[in-house]
Amino acid sequence: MTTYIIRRLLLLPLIILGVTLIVFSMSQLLGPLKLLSTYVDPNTYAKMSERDIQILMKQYGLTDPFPVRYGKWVKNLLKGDLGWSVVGKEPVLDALIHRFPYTIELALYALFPIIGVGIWLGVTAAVHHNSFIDQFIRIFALIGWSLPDFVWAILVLLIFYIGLGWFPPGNLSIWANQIVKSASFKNYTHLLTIDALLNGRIDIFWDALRHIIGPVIAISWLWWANLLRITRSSMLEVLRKDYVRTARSKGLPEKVVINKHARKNALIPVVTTAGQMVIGLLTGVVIVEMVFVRTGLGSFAATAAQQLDYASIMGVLLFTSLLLIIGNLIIDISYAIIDPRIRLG
Amino acid sequence: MSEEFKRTLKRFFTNPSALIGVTILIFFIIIAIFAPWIAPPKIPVNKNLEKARNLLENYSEENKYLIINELKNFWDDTYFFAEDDYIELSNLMETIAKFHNKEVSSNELKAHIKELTDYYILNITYYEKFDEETNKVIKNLKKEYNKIEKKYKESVISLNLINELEKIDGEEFVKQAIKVVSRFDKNFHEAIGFNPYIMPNVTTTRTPIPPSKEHPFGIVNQKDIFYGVIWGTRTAFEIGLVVVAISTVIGLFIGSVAAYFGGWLEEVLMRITDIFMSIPFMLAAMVLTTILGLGIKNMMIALIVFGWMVTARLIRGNILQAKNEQYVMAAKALGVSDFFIIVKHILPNTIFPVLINATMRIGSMVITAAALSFLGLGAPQGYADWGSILSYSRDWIIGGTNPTQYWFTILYPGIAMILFVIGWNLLGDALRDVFDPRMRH
Amino acid sequence: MKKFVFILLVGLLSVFAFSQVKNPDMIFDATLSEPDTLDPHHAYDTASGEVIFNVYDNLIAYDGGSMTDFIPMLSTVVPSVENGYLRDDGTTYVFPIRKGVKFHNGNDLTPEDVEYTFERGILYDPAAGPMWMLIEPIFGAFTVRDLVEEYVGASWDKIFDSKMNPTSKEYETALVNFYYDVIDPAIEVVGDEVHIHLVRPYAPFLNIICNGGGWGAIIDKEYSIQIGLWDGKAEGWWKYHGWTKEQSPLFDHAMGTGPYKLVEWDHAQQRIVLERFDGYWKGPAAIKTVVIQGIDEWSTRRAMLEKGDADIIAAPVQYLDVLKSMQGVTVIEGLPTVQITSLGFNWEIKPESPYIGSGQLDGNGIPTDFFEDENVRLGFAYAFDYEGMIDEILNGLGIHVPTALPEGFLGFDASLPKYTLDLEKAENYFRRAYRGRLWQQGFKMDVLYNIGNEERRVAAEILRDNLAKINPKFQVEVRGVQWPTYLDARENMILPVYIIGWLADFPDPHNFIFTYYHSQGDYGHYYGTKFVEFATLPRPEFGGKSLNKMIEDASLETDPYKREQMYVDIQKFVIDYALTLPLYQPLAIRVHRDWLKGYVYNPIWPGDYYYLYSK
Repeated sequence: MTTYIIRRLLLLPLIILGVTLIVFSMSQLLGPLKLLSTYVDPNTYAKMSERDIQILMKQYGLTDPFPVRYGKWVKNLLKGDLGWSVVGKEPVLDALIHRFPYTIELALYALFPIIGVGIWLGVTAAVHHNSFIDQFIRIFALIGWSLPDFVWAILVLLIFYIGLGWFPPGNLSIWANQIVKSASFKNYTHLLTIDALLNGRIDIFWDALRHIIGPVIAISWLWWANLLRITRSSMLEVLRKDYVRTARSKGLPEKVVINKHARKNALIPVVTTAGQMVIGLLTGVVIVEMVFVRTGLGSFAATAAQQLDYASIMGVLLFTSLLLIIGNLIIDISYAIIDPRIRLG
Repeated sequence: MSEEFKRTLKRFFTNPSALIGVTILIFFIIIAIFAPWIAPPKIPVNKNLEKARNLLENYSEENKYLIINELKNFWDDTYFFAEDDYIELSNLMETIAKFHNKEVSSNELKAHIKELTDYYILNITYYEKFDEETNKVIKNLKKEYNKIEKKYKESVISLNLINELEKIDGEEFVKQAIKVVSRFDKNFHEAIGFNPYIMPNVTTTRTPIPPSKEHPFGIVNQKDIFYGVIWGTRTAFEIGLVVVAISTVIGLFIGSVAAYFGGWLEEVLMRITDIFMSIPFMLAAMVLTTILGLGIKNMMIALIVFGWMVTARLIRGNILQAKNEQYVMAAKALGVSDFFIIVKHILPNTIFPVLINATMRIGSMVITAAALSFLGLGAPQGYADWGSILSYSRDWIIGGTNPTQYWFTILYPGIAMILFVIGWNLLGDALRDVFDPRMRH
Repeated sequence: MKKFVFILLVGLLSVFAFSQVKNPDMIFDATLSEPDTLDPHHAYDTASGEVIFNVYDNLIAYDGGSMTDFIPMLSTVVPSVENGYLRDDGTTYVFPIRKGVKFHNGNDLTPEDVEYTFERGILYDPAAGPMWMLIEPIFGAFTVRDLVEEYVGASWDKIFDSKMNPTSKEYETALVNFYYDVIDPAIEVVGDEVHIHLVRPYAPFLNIICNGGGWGAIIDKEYSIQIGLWDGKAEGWWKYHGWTKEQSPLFDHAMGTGPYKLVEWDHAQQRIVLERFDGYWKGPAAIKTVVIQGIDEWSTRRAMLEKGDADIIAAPVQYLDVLKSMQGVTVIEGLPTVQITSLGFNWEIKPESPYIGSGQLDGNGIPTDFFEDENVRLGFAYAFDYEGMIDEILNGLGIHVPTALPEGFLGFDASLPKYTLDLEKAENYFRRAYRGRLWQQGFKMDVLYNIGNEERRVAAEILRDNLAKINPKFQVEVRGVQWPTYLDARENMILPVYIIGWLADFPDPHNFIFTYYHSQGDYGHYYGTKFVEFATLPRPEFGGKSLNKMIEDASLETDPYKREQMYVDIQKFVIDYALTLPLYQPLAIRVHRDWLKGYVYNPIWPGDYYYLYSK
């Protein structure tokens, strides 16, 4: 066990290095001229002369050989300098740091309904195995699993914003945004809802919440489907186990059997899925953020890709990869601690 | 074995989700196969041939020469230079032959080529590249000669056909003339190489137009949604099957090599797998597509590059288990070659979970591809693809005054997409239930 | 009694109307783009220009919406020959500097500030910046590097090492002298006046330095030196030359004399906040706060306008009907712009281009010199539906122009022949091309557009459909690529044709005619060396002058009447040879809430001038 953890930790730098190499090589497929165009305003680029191009290419070091550029890039990485973000109009690291809290907040708010409802649905389905409820939940899962997120997100926006006017797109209303940006508003955590409460602004809290609910609904279905499938099958398996049967044969009420014996054991694999879900929410809410026009890592990545802003693209990829690596490490290690029976390797 | 196989089949076909899934998929397969008939593409026609055909429909004696005239015009527009070119190139071939026999200097040959490029019979590059790559140029010239020879022969046949027509009258003429026109039509179509996947513009206004008789699903961004949905089925199959197939093969290869040989090779391969798995899939695919340049092909490459790792891990785990089974041990003891053992003994026994996984991935792969197109990072503009049609609808749905009036822009492609994915997921579910009850978790 | 009711009613209505105005002390402008840099000597895009426009003042300003009439601003006089402030045969401009003008930090405006501003801008001259506009009339070259190379007599890379230090003592001395001999004498302070000396008379000079062009904005010397701009000394000026935009301290700082102060530029929110400068010399602006925010999603912008949260939004033409049906919103259609959208031909495509198929005239591609053939160009010219594009796609918001010179410019002549959709004419030209072989073989090529620009996509598709109508063997594939890819392809000369727009730098025909038709122009440069041959060939149409020479001469002509005639002659020539296809001159739409008062439109302005507005 300890050796497992040590091994994982030792491999960590290697994997991170591998990721930087992949990310950097991808960006370098673009060639110097395209790389240059991310530094210059598009309309201005159209008006540039040959000489301007030469000067700028030199200034930005685009003509150096690959290893030199990679070395420079890694050196800058270690200093926290990921380059200039054209889309963000600020250094890439700042752009990431400014946008990440929005994504964290969305993930946090999505987490509780997804886990709560997902597990509840899964357990319900398992307990009523093969009944009407089970079938219904399975169909619900199937649709959620098959529904493209962008179609569902547009529908949510259509229904809850345009139809009912409840959950507008964006991060905050304009009036609220102005207060949040003013000097009197203290940013403790950079999570809007929590900061609003800490500042005693219930109105802003509500406003921020209103902007989060729509995306949360749009994200939830897929993850409900995911989670309830896992919970259901794991629960079904546990229910067949000897100790549950023994408990039942002892005449314990069904509720006690499920709550005390079955559910606890069934939830072990669910923990992994939930962990992966957190990582997934932090690294992959591109579509929902785009449709709901939310500031965040996902929309940042998509806009950067649309404009071929390669510094930002590399930054986001690297950042999210780090999240993924560390997140998985934590999940695996904690899983190994919870359930030492699993095969390590 | 066959008894068991029968039982499995029975189990499969009594499984309701399998039935529904297979039905949906068959439905889509039929649509994909019959797309050219369900939503016929507007293949461009030659004006002369079209006129000839119209005249033939209302045939009367006095039309005969009009028809022949149209055919001759077509011939003129297609084969006017064929004979000249053939003669000129035959001469050139002679010069080349003489050149090989050292009867003609390379400068003379070059001058001869120049003559032909001046008349646009040959491309100027033959002249420009002559000094650098003489042999290659001569080889290409021979190819050029063959092409022109073929064209010349075709022109003679065509001309004969027209001349024959002049000699006959009445019913017989109409019969033969229709044959000739279809033949020319075919030649013409071959010559232009039409791409039906590009959705044509059917209106001049940009605002979406609701469903009507000619356009049963309505029009968005000047494109007929029905056409897009039908041909998009092919695109969806293409993306789903090709990406999953190739990435599965890559994964199988890497995973089985790693598992079977073990040691440092396994270590290296699995660490590479780890590294690739450490980059979030959606973002990675998005980034690689934009960097390679937009388009279906590049998007598929990106999805493959970041889509093989699950298979590799899965097969490795399964092989590690199988490696210790008796029959493998026995084969090894008998000195059977490694490759043979993998292909013959291990893969067949470990591949089912991989196939089931692949089936289930097709649906999500199509969704990812559509999401990329939706963001404007996948299929090119105007390509028949569900994701792109849905991206057109976005601005109208969210941006219009009365968004509900544009319901059709999202409904049809959306339903097609959902059904397609549900079909694959049901099939995957059923396969899992039937073949491998252990894999329930 | 009736009167009383009436007054009551009016009163109620006005109260009602007043209560309707949201955020009466703020203007929210929802735009599409965000500034590139706020350094006035680096910014070249309209989004940056708009901010600089409101924060800084220039020496002179346009009179309202006029592009030709000027009013004094920081200079108390608009120089002209009549008033004696334009001297030495039009080569010396004299600007008496206004007194009592304060910068936002309280500093007084002095003539030294003006001198410093111009000299700093010229010495700074960053790559891809706007400073060529001033360097050209004052010194007769395009960049300060050219000037230095000419003065020192060595190439720039030889004078400086990679760290921008002079490689030798002699060079260093020469560089210092360069400032004293070349730069300093061109702009001088004489008492309360600033004198600017041009190398030769140049008609558009006042247009260039006029308010609206950031490159003519006046900055505060003391503040600038304090934050790390050029220290005003001849020694070491080169250390302040040609930074990248992020290196300039003025990148996100601003200190002008203009009606608004820059409060913040929030990159994450793409937001600029401006606040009224109470000490503005003309009197403070009516509106206290201006927020300019880049909001990429159209739907959000629309919703904000609808709810009154945004006062002004950037609106794509395609949603015109939606906008017109909105309550409380003013939509002004058909505002003239100083832009042309055109289709240019590459006469010499690089053979490795992936967009020309086989690269041969075999029906599967186009030869590399395809567009050198006049018949091909003319065939294309008559295969585009200009009127249809404007009426159906642009909702009528476009002008069908004869050449790449917008309406409203000197030399524009609506009576010149225009290309129209005429498939028969096009067929005739195509049948003539390549001795009839083109017609038989057909061709295949790609037309690219930059993704997101729907008008260009549709234009390319119209061309594609019409060519296929003429001969189904004429096959064009329309392809969308990202802007960087597009520019990369153009730079590498692999684009067969390119659809692109040009936005005027200043309102003078030279800015268009030179750009498009001179073989060294920004666009003409991309037609290939075969076009250079064409443009330098003496022409009977110009009495033996070449096209290039004719364009150069027209820019120097001082008699406006003669000059106009020369531009008309040039245009006749380029129409005959179909050098570029002017697809359309776009007309703009303007959308703001009814309660926004005082809107003035000037096509050459980079954006809104908020000082004029009230709510």
